[in-house]
Amino acid sequence: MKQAVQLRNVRKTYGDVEVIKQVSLSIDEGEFIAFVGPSGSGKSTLLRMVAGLESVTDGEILIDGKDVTFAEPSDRGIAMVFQSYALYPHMNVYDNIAFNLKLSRHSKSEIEKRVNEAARILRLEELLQRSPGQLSGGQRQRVAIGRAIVRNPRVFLFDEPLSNLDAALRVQMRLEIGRLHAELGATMIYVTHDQVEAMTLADRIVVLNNCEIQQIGKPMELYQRPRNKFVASFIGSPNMNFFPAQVSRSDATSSTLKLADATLDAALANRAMGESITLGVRPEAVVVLADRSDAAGGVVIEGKVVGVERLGNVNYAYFDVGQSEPVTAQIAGTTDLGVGDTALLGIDPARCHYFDGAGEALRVGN
Amino acid sequence: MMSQPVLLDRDKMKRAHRRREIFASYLFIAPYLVLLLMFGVFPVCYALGLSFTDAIEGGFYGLNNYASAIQDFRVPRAARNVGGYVVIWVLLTIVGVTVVTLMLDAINKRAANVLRTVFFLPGAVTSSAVVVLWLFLLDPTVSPFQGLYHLFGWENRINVLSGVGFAGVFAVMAFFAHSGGWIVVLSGAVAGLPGEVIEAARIDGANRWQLATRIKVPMLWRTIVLMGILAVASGLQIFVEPQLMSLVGPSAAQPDWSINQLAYQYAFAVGDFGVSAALSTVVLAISITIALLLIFCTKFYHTN
Amino acid sequence: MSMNTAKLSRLKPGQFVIYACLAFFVCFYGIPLLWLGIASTRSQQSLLTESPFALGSLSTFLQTWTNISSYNDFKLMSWVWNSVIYSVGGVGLSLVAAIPAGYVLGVYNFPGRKLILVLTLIAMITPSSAMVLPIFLEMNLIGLNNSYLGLILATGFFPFGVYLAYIYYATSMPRAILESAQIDGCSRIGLFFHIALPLAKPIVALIAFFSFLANWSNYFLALVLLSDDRLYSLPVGLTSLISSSGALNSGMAGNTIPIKLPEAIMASIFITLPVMLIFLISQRFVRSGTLAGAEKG
Repeated sequence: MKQAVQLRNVRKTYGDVEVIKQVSLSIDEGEFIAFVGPSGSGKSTLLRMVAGLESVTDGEILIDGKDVTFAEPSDRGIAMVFQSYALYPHMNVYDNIAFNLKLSRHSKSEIEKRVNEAARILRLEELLQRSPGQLSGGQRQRVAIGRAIVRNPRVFLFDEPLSNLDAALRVQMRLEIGRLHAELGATMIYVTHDQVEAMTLADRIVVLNNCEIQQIGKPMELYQRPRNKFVASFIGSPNMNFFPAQVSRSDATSSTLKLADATLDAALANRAMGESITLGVRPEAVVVLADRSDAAGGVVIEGKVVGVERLGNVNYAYFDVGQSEPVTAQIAGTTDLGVGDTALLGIDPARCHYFDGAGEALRVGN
Repeated sequence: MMSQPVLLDRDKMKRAHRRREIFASYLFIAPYLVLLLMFGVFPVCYALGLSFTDAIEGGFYGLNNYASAIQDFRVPRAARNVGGYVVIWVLLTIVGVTVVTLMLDAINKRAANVLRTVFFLPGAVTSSAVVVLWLFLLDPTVSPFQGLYHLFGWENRINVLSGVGFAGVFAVMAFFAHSGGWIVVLSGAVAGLPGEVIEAARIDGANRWQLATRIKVPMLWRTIVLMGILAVASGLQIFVEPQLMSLVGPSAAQPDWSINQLAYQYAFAVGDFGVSAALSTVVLAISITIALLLIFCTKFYHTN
Repeated sequence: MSMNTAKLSRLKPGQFVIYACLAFFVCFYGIPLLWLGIASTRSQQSLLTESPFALGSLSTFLQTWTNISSYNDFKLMSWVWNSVIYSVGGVGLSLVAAIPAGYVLGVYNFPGRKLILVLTLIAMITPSSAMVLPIFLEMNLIGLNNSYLGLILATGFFPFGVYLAYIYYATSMPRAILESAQIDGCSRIGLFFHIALPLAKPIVALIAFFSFLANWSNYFLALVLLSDDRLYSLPVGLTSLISSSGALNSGMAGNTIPIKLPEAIMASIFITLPVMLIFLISQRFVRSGTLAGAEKG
């Protein structure tokens, strides 16, 4: 498949401070890519480097196979939607959308055709003569997207476009962006700190932390096979539970791990004796047991309920098991648990993730 | 394959890009930069240079200009005049503006707005017209304040001037013209105080007086200090007020009351640019020192 | 209830003091202006003998006007024109210089930026009167004293305007809008004219206002730079008029020039009126602008 955007060993430093460490990435044509990560992870900087708003210290950026590392932002064939929308306050909606076309000296009829087409796609027809100040947040966001659409860009760049909207509107706009991607079939890069947006919209997600890529993959791939502890904890809500453990026995097919007050047989081959291993379990894999005998070969931990959150469709209980962080379990709505109750928690080794001392995920099985 | 030439040109392109950016910036700032050099930097340097030059004969003159300035008996007297004026004017500004602002804050909002406009209006009267206006106001025969003067037994303008003192009269003139602007500025600072802090103090039982003295004034302190410092800087430069006293005749004329006036006299009446430059340099040096202190010792002007 | 009345009566003396104080200040600021307005309708005789707020008559007012306008071929009017030329020229130049300068200082980083900013702040805090004689000495050197151009150039240097524009662009100009326009294909120059300048309209008006105020009332610099009375600005002309006629000097009573107290008063109003009108028309705007400028200070 043709590659729309390529980053080759891209680096960026401010003086001695490295803000992007060696990033390489290929984005296919028509792909929807999300950059996620906590604030300060470098995701926005990376996007702005693609846009040409930040200089590149080292490496190259290619768009459609053309080196654009030093090209002006307007010559890259990209369009960008900003978090603050960045509408021109002194122009009405029509002029905002038409600004780029006017600068590139398109004919008047061509401009009108394209603006009206964008307005139709985004349902902005009624608003074209309004000024940005008279629009609601969602409408402004649609104008910002309209400004991007009229340029027929090679690549759409979105910089946290929904974070200024309230929760209900955010869901609606998320669906609209998804629809837009399906309709236009264009390449899109989407920066967000909200993993739900990334999981729902993206074909592939790039997880960034500490100025470098942690993992690239399809949403469910990241969820099911996180490459390290950071990705495991960042993707998925509520967060994954972690338990410290030590290898007490190991051979060519399996190892026995010793937890605080339980042991567990894991399909990990040839580990060093006494090695520290972190066990990761998602809340839905933690089961509240009626009886110790229900454990079915799993690990049983005793915990005291410190909080229960009933959201209706899903319910979570938080248990104190003698670690600094409470353990989260997804429970059935009918489970009768209250603060102060004691319960038995069962963990199935087959649904566990294992991380070594450096936080890297360990391969299970052979 | 295609990255090879790019890698070679990389530094060149980067530098060219940066150069273009810098060039564009300087293109925009050029008109201002020319003016800044012409009317900011150059005059200061030129005056400094002239102050070490023999203006009549030419050539380096060392500190002689400064020496002859100090030997002029009028200079220390002018320095004392200006010093006294600055003290009165600064105290008047700090106390008057703060008190009026806090009082305006305590009354009905719409009334306060009207009053602020009234207080602000004299700022529209240009400096020379302020002096002319006050020359009328100080004359017991025409002044609307004549009742007040008669109370003190002042029958003519000279009585009033000597009764109040020149420094006091000039300070009142300056206060009349400039305090309104500062009242607006300080009112803005009062409006900008976090409402919750004021409400918390009221719940803690502070009455209006305590609210003003223990909460608002301490929180406005930076603005008040800034106002005081700028008042000192402008006060040192007093020229128009004493210079225009000559309008009412030789009995009240004060041609050598302030340092700036003496510098003016040396340039225009005596024609000795050297001594004039020396006096200007001293006055400028004080002003620039104040400016530097303000910029570097406080965070008043930090924006980032 | 009883708590309330107790509280009220306790506050009353305090409130009385506040209102009394404010009334005093209203008199201090207001009476002179009121008096100035009324006095222009009164005759010399009335000014000297009647009560300060006695009303004059329209005919006296017109007579005063005739005296002023006929004096020396209505020289006053040519001074008004000079003042307009100096002020408009100074305002125009200061805007042309200050807006782009404030824009690049606020938005871009380039070598020398910090130095220019510090020099601007120093020049802004240093009262302009401190620079008058050095500027005169310089003008004398380059031969620009006693000319329209010299005074306009000198007043076109308006660091406070640069500071206002700089603060505006550095704090109120969303970066994303500039970046968005850059992506839309604006050149650096286009960015300024399409985006930065139209968005700065309020600050342009504010700088123009302050610059006009400073130029219109400029006395010291005009006095020093202009020696030809045909080039005088209104404030310099007015004081020279009053001084030569001795209108305010009771010791020069025998003067034949028809410029006496009423004429001096009317001429003062002449200087004040344009600024006062602009003040009143734009006071809300100017007050908020004064605040905006001072916010950082």
